[in-house]
Amino acid sequence: MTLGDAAAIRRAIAAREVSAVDVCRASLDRIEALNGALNAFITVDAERALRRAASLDDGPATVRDLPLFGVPIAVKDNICTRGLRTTAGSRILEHYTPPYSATVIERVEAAGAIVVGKTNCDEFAMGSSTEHSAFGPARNPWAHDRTPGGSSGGSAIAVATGMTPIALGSETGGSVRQPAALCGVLGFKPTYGRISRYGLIAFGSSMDQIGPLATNVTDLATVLQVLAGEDLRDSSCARRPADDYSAMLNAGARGLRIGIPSRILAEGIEEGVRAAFDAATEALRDAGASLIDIELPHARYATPAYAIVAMAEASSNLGRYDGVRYGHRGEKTPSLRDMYTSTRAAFGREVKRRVLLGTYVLSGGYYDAFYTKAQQVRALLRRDYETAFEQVDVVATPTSPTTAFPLGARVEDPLQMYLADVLTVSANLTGLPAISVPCGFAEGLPVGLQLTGRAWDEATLLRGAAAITNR
Amino acid sequence: MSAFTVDDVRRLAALAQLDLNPEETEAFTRQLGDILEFARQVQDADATGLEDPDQFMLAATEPRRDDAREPSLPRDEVLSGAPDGDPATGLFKVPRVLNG
Repeated sequence: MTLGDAAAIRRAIAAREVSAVDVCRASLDRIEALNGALNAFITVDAERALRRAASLDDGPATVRDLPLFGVPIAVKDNICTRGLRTTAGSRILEHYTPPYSATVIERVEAAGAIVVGKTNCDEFAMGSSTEHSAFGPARNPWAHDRTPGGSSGGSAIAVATGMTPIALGSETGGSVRQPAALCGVLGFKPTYGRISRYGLIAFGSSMDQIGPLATNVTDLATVLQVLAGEDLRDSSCARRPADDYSAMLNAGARGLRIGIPSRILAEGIEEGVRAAFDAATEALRDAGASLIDIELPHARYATPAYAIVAMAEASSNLGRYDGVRYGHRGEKTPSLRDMYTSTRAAFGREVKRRVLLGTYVLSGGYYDAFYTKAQQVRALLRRDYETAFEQVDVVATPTSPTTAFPLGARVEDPLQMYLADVLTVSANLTGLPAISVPCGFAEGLPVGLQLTGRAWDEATLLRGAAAITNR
Repeated sequence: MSAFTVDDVRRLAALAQLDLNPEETEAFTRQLGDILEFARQVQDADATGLEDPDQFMLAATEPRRDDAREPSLPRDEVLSGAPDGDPATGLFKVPRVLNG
């Protein structure tokens, strides 16, 4: 059998046309068939998944109403799953099995979903290509010699190839939206604080967010509905009830005011990406939306500010990998200091680079020139968006300036890698919600359109995304 | 400001408890210098008129939960993930810190 979307799977199981075990087997078979070529999964636990599917099939009839009943889901490997290895793409956590599950795992499981495995990602989510994984690079399903984007590359591949209809990823600077764009699926970063991060392995805590990936807006809205809402175990998670994310999916484009920062888009965007973006926004205008030219005067400082904040927070967060409480410990060493350094030798190159840079920008004499200034850029950017949102409902740009780039092209050129996120990092710096929606192809490779919205206004982004996919 | 030097990288590595091999030290010296040059662009942003540089965060005005004790993970399970945990005593073991 071929897996359909999450809504179709749930309906088919509820109608007893198929069992949850049938669906789970189909998902596992597809992973088995494709994962060798694509390296989307680091860990697949077929036995655990099938056991859970069987228990759902045997459960009381009432559970069949659950919103994700029997739906297989892929989870980025930096999200803790009790009893299921969680590596964060790092040698340091190669043998780490968490004693607890992230809140998002508890929520999707309570909604009836089945975790089939853990997806490949850049080490500690630091990268834009899934090449900085200790478990080998993942490959783009549209062109195997290209990257799927990153860092949630494995989750994007899983959804794009129908291994699972939905997946969870995480973002610090675009790590859900960018791979979603490069693999041709939808990816959503909700407002900072919308979804609990309890059990997400920390990278840049003032920006990290968990987000869902799916092939269509309805499934995306369903998963967001399951994930959203307060969690007392995460003090950064807002005590704010979730909205009804499906309510506006059929509202269409009419009356939607779309801001386009044309000055930012004037250079650095690949021609084919620009053409697909223009065609999509023009179609929205034809469907009744208005396109309004806006300015985001401080957007040009976003990538440098992001680099500073992300590395500062990474250097702080990764201090915990000391070989004491969990994870890898270096070879037997006579002193505590040797134990630390031999343990941390297991970090990959990109992680080491970021820890060193973060240490630098937080050190005396440089703190104000880099870190404080970067925080001020965040405030300026946020003001830019607030001004824009006085006249528009959403801001549209391409998600990525390019389509999927070749494997190896940027892996030893960190600056070029960071520029892959030039259009996504603003949402993380400001905390605003943003979504990537497939909007066409350039030379056979998918192109994503990004919408950024007002804080907490995920519903309007889903409405816009639906208008794009239905155009 | 001067370019990034090998000594800068070595000093940072010591602060961050990282041992770098010579090839990493050489590559990082060049790459970190380039990235910092790039990052330095933030200094051109005019921040006059910003009252509070912390205002970039979304307002966290919601009340927090009561500061009440709640169940936590079982000690044995937490220790089971440690490279050298001792469930009998409930301790994580590390190399000797003090002499004598």
